[in-house]
Amino acid sequence: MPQFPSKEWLDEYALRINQSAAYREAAATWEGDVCYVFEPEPDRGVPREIWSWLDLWHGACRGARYDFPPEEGARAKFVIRAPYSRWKEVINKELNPVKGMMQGKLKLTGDMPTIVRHVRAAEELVNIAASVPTEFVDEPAS
Amino acid sequence: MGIEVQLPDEEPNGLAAMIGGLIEANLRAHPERSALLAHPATYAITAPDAAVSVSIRLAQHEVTVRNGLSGTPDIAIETGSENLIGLSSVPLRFGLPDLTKKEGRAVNRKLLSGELKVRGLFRHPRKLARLNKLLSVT
Repeated sequence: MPQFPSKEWLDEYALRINQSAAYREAAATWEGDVCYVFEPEPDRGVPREIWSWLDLWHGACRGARYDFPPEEGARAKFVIRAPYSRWKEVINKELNPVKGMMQGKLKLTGDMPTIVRHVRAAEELVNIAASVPTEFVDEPAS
Repeated sequence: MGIEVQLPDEEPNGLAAMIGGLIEANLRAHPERSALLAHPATYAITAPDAAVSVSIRLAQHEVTVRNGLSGTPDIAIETGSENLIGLSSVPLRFGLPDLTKKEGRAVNRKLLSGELKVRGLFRHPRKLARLNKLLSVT
């Protein structure tokens, strides 16, 4: 089972994005790469900031990168950042991403009208993330 | 030159950042919408499920979005976070939800059921229409 966060988890996520008919339909007009930034929480096993990148284009994921320099990630069209434990809440579907953004728990930079037009696509990305069998780094399997 | 939305709070809440970003991007993409800022108006928007509110003030060629509620706004909107973000995608007719479209009729149903509350709707319909146009992504 892939650990979150890790390259294995991100690759499995990208694979599942490409297998999702619901995402393909919801994101049919989406154009733009997205960075997820996992902010450090040393006491939970994330000692430093980790950047991950998805090249999302018209309902497909054309590529994924994990753990690379922030100056490269900052060039992405959209950047969503939050501490590791917030991402865990999103993956566990305990935090709705729209509500999380309104509460400032997830911080988004990028063109807001594009995000608003594609809320359903964002929800599908969360559904896909929730479908990935996940071992959280702060809850290692015994 | 685009109009910069003012976010005077030291740490704007998420809703303020989203609404400010939406208005600023819309004014950049549709400069003709800056005519909507010609007359003053005040608004409050609350998403109770997210426990977050903002106050918006339009003045001549200025938009200010602050955290929380202040004073008595001309228009006060209250609805859940998902409804709120969905409102920006509803087709408009004269600045109000287009009742000839299913999305517009859905807004009407939410108004009637109380799921969406808009205080000042009948007193200041033009001010509501201006806000809708500033936030619209259709």
